[in-house]
Amino acid sequence: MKKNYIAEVITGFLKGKFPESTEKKVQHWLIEEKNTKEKRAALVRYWDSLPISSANNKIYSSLNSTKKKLGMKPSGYISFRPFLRIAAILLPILILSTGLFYLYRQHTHPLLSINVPYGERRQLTLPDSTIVWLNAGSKLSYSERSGNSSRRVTLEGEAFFDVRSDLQRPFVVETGELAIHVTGTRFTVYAYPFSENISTILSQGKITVETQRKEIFHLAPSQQLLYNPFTAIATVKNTEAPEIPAWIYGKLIFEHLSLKEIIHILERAYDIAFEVDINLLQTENYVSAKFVNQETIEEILDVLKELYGFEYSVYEEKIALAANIDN
Amino acid sequence: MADKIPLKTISSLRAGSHKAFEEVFLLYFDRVRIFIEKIIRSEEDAEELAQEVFVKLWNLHEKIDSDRSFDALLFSMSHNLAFNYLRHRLVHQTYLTSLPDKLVEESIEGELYAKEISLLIEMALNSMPEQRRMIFTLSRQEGLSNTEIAEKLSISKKTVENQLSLALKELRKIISLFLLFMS
Repeated sequence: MKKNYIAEVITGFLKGKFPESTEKKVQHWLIEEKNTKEKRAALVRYWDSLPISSANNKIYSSLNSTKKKLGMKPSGYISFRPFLRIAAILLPILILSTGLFYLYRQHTHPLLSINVPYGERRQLTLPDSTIVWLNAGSKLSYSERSGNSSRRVTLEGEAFFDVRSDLQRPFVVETGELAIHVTGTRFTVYAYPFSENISTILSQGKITVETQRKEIFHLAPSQQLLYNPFTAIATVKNTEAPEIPAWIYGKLIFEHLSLKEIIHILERAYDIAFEVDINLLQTENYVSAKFVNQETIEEILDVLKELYGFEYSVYEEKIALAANIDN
Repeated sequence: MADKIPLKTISSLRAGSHKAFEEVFLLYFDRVRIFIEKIIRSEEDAEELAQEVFVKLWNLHEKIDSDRSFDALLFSMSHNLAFNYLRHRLVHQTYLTSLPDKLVEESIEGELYAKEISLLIEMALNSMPEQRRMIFTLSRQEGLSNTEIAEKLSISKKTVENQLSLALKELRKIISLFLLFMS
């Protein structure tokens, strides 16, 4: 009996989860120029098994960043055929659930949310007089009236919290991956979607962080919790926690960051799109740098290009980064 | 690979319609992204590469051949980008194959697929419950007796035997006859 081991390895690999060392071995085997036909056939079968999607918010954000790279206008609405069909089904449900929502809403507190556009920062005071500074491209949702039991906010992005002390009602910041419990204290949360690390740095008081896996970490002042959303591993380290984080004053401080992460930060801070040579993003080069004098984007890139070895050119609304061939 | 996209959309795309591009993107992006991610095992880089596929698609939209499957075109582009990424990333890492290639090539079927079989075993071991994997490793790779394993892990000898037989059964299922050379 002849078994097709090649297809089995591929299917087993694509459907399973393995330690990195095993993944690497399979990947090495995969790119070997051997049995390429059989490997490709197995990959085609897997490809065919993947669903053709119905659009969700995440795809829209991918679409818009792809369009940015191509210099097309971002799209904000749905206007084409497959969605009309879906809309025909969803609309009645939507109307029904909106009705239910309004009924429900009378018994609960409506959620408010604040979106800070790229290139801007905001400060706001929550109903319990907690003060929040939001960095560019962040979103914060919270309840309009401070409820009786607990104070809960949801954050996507970066924020510095100065939480009004109230031992009876803990204040909880939720990101997709972490829940940070505090009573009264000052701390920063960094949790943009797709960032390599989510982090929280405590300036004052104490906080308790709960991960998705229900692991609990207690942080003391000047400690930072780093959480890698891809491996779900959290680590705590000592750091210098500023009284007030520098970005509130428009200063940019990069500590041991990859080019990709820095570009995300610059995109948000300067509201400008980047087009980056994929080879540049694959280098594992971590850099620290400070820009504290309200530098222009060009001044910053002039420094970074030496550190990472790239060249850049500025178009009207975007900046292209290419690998420096001399390096 | 049947196309799920109307031909009209593809011809609009070839003519440079942004709307058609959008339509294709929304339908296919997740498939491309998941496919790449499963191969390269990095969520973040997969997102970038998937976007890269569509950037490339747009850059060659005039050359899309309507006589050939559009689905197959996207598959090829995704496949190539993922493989190139792996080549770039893996090329610098020294990797010792467990078996020299020459040995593998000129032999009976069992050895012909030795590398595939060793990968299958490794994956199967990694999918086993922790204790079973540990017992199997101690027994087959470190050569401990069942009694020694039972003492080492403070469990009964019976448990060791049961777990070992379950592990062997599991592996045997995957690689049929060729497991025997390990015992």
